[in-house]
Amino acid sequence: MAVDLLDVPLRVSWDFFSDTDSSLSGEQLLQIATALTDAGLFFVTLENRPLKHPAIVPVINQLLSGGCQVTLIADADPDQLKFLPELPTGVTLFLDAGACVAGNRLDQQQLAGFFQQFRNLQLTASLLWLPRSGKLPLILDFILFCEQNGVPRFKLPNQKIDANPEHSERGLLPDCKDLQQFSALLNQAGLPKTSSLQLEVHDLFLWELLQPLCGGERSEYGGCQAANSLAHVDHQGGLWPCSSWPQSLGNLLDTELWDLWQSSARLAVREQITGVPTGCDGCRDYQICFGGCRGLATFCREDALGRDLLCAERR
Amino acid sequence: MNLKRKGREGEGLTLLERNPQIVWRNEKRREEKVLQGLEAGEDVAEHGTVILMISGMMHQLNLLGGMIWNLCDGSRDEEQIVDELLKEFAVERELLAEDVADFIQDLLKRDWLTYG
Repeated sequence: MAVDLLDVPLRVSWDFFSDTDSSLSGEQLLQIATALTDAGLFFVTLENRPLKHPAIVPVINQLLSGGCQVTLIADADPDQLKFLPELPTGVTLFLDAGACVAGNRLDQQQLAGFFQQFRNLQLTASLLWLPRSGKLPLILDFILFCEQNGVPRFKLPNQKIDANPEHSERGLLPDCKDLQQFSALLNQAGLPKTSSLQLEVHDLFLWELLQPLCGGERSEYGGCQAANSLAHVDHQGGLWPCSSWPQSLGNLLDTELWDLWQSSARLAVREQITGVPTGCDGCRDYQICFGGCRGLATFCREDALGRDLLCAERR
Repeated sequence: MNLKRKGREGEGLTLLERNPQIVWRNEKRREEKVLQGLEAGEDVAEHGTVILMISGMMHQLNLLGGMIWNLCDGSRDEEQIVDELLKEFAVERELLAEDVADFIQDLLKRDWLTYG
């Protein structure tokens, strides 16, 4: 059965702060949390320095009491991690390792220190790292780190882009050349052996390379799920199709999620995703990838092919 | 009915209940559209009205499956579920009971339902 158009999303990522540190009041955040729980969302991921906000605990409590499963992305920042003890139980924790990468090197000692902070508090955290152009080989270092340090999960999330893609450090987004180089490295060195590490890879083409470590099938993949099972809430309460599709569909502070998800703007996004990108026309594997990440392809490709940024050519 | 209760056969329990580990929701807007399609004589068997997340995978149940799922709240046995559905569908009891039995059997095998 194909994935139908859903009434409201299943998964939402939610930024607490902008890059310039502006955010909503605690009351407004609670209003959004209530909108998400009232709509019946299953999963909410709190991102962009949620631990810094004084209303983080009541927001999480609202989400949990409304039946949402809550994931929190913590930065590798001692000033934020000091608020960990106040978190309610039942939250899935990830540590964003971005701050532990300098150049093309992972500071394993620094990263291990952060994980020790979680352990000291009897908390289990998993690892998250946003793949960057020129740095994909670091994925192997992270996998080994997880194995050696008992980190249960390692997640490579989607590439978040700003409302203005020009601000999104486009040069940092991995492309098909990065993937080809990484593929060549894997062919030469092989995949590392892992025992029980759970590896989650958002990008389909990167997942293809790492699939032997991921196991099983890709969760709910029937093509790009932006504006269907996925959505993103920005630091002002704006609702986006996903964090890789920089187009606001309206604001949760003044409009119900249900109404925004039935709007013509949302349906237009889904209509666009239903179409086959020019660069995928005739591709043998289209029924597997469905064009991959359509948000990045739409807003960050230099050409009009509309193919996933990591896809080199038609197969 | 020749359904067997999984794992605890012989204890005489017959009430069906959903696996509490499964998160799910009704897609009300979808259901309205599917019901309209059904009224218009369309084939709606491939349209989901209930969404379930199981081990990170999304699954959909169609209109009849979704209704059965909603009725499996621990207060009804299979016969009572058929009784409830007969209030909604103009269909012979025997045919409906067969479909319900097949569906429930499938969900019991998947551990999405249990007898309680």
